[in-house]
Amino acid sequence: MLLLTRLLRAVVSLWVIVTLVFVALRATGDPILAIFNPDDTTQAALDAYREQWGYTGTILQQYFTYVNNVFHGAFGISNMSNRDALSVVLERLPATLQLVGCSAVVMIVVGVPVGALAAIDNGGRLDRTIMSLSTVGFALPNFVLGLALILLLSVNLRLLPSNGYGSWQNLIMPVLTIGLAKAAIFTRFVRSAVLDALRLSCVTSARARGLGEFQIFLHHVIPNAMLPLVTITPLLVGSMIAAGSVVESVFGWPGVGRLIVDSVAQRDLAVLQVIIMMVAFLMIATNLIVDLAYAKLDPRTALAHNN
Amino acid sequence: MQVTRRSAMTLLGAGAAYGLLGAPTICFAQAAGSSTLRVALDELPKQLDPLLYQTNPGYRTMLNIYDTLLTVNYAGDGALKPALAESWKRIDAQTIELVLRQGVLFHDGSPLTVDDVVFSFSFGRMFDPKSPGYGVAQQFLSTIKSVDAVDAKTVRVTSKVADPALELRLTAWGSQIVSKKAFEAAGGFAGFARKPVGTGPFSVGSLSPDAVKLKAFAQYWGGKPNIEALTYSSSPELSSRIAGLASNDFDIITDVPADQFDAVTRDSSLEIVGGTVASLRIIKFDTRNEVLKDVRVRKALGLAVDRQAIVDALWQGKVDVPHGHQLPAYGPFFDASRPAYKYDPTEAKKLLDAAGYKGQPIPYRIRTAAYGPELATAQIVVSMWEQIGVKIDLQIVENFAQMMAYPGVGMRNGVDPVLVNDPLFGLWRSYDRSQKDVWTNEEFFTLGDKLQSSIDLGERKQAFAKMMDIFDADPPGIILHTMGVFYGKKKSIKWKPIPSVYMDFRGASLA
Repeated sequence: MLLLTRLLRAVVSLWVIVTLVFVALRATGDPILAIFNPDDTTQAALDAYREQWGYTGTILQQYFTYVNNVFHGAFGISNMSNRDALSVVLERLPATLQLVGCSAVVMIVVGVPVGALAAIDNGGRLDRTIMSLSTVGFALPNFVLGLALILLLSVNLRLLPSNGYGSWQNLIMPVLTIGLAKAAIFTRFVRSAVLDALRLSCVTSARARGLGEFQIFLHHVIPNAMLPLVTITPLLVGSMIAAGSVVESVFGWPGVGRLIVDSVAQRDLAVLQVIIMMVAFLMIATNLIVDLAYAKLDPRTALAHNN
Repeated sequence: MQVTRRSAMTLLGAGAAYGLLGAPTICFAQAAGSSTLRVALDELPKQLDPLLYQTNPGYRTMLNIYDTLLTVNYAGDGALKPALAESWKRIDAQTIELVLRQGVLFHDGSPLTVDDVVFSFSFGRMFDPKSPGYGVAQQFLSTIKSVDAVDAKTVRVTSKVADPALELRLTAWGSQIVSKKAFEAAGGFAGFARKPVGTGPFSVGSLSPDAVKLKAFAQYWGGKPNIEALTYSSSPELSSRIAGLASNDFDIITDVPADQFDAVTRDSSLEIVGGTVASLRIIKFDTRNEVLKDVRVRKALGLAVDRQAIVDALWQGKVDVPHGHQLPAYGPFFDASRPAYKYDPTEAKKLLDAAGYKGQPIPYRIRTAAYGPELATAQIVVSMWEQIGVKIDLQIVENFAQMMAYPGVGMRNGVDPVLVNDPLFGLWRSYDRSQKDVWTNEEFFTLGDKLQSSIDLGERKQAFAKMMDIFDADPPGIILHTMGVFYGKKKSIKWKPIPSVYMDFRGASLA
């Protein structure tokens, strides 16, 4: 029953998102004039595109046609690529998954130990240094960090290719750019989660029982710190797709992030809708998994539901 | 100073480059092959059938994949030249016959035949309103009635109307010849646009979201290209493109604005090439606006603009201020003796007074970066207008739908592109009757009809000269300057850009 309600809520969320995107893109005016330059395109050509791409009839009619098609599994044709929108997006997906996946690993591998160190040294010099660096890390815009890396590693040291896709060398700089920026935020969450866990009575009692610090950390602090981190991780990973729109442009990385930007600029509505639906679906599914994971990580959550 | 993304990057780039560019370098980021020319574009084409994709990324790639029946000397006087047709003959006002060059091969090894030419111009590809190619074909080829085979070597092109520019249409975008066999085998437009087969100097190796890879076509009728491969990479961010050029990931980068020339030439192995292209940067009037109805106000606005100051400040003097709505590439139509536009604020003020202008604000709609330094240009022009007492309501919009939204119109930014070097495709295409809501001049329209239908060169020249006079006397817009396209390039690469939006790599070679 809980699952069913959640699924229903997910479908409604998707529909609302799709509708909002439709309205937002139409609110800025005739899509044909947003795509084509009328100084460089004859009226006959503009009319032909309007007819062929289904921008005739009222906006409401266009909306119903669109929703009807989506319900029948037809996501539409990308006007810019002249093939179905789903395949345009799927073609870009591996590049984005690679980027987001590796960046998430960097975020966790850097964020967890550094955040924990800061918490353990609460108020100390190390803690203050880490927190200052973290502030710098998340205050630095992605494109500045990305370009600084290109200048250092490509232009000056000639160690890595500045642009492109396909080899592991291409992956390093975009992953560092996104991964480090997110690690800077993640470190703060880890720190506060560990600090909260350190204050728990189970930790005090474990200390009283004479357990070693490492044992306490492993068996009491980490499990208790997990809950807030499990909540924030999917949100940060989701925001990596958004960060991708800038970082992918800087590094010429052919991912979904850049496709979003291009599709908005070129009013490639079908492609944009597929991406939005995909991202929304991923976020909804991840949140569902996180909720289910809570029960495992903290049996109290499950109990609260049952009561 | 306003800190924009670009200025931040310039600072960052300047700091790092000055200190470190000279440092000893280890070269890992090298090219895929030693005789591959690597070009970085801000945007890659998503499909490679010219009838589906008439934009800059298409112009820059497809000119090297396809040929047209005739071509023009883009680099020089714009004169007609044979291409896939080795000769042609005007039969009458509506008809020309062309003899195909023999021995031309498509990239798949099959010979070019009259069937391919007839198919390329067929109803199904170009003239069926339901065809995806219809829109692009309407741009330059709308007057063509039919293309038929006369014999195994000859085709006849017939126009619906008397058409002095019929030959030029066969050089224009959309008139590229495709392989009938390959098009049909690919199942039509969608398939062919991903695996195109033309007769150009390069065949398509692969088309992906990160690169378009072309290979030299050894049997090219115009001679095998000097380079073995041509790779276009996607690098949307200007600073990354410049860094990619400096770090030897690219040989040529596109779209370098004048304020970034120094960032490129700081490295002594790099240079800026390019310059003016066949496009006029215009501020267009909408005469439905009450104030702009008065011709004296429009003329005053033109007289108040110091065009050369804009060109010097924002384009490093590297684009031209045309004398009238014309280009040198118009050949016989170009009038070199036409006087330059005057900059005369005093005269402008007099005209405003005579028109009884009372300080009513005139809307002026712009985008920010559609035409190079668009915002900066607008700010300069607005301050020039303010000096003669004109009040401007500057509106920044996102797209043409907003730009042209009526009511509330006044002035707007625009460009008059000239993809085919004839005033028919310049002045007349931009100000014909389809724009008559915005600006009307019956005499101009009648002369335009003559320019379009007369095949007497003298008569056409006369009509065009008079049309330019009308453009200046009853202005539908203010010509600012020609547009410029600039590339960053390694000095060692031998390549000369043509004064056009096209990029032609037929003669390019590596060092």
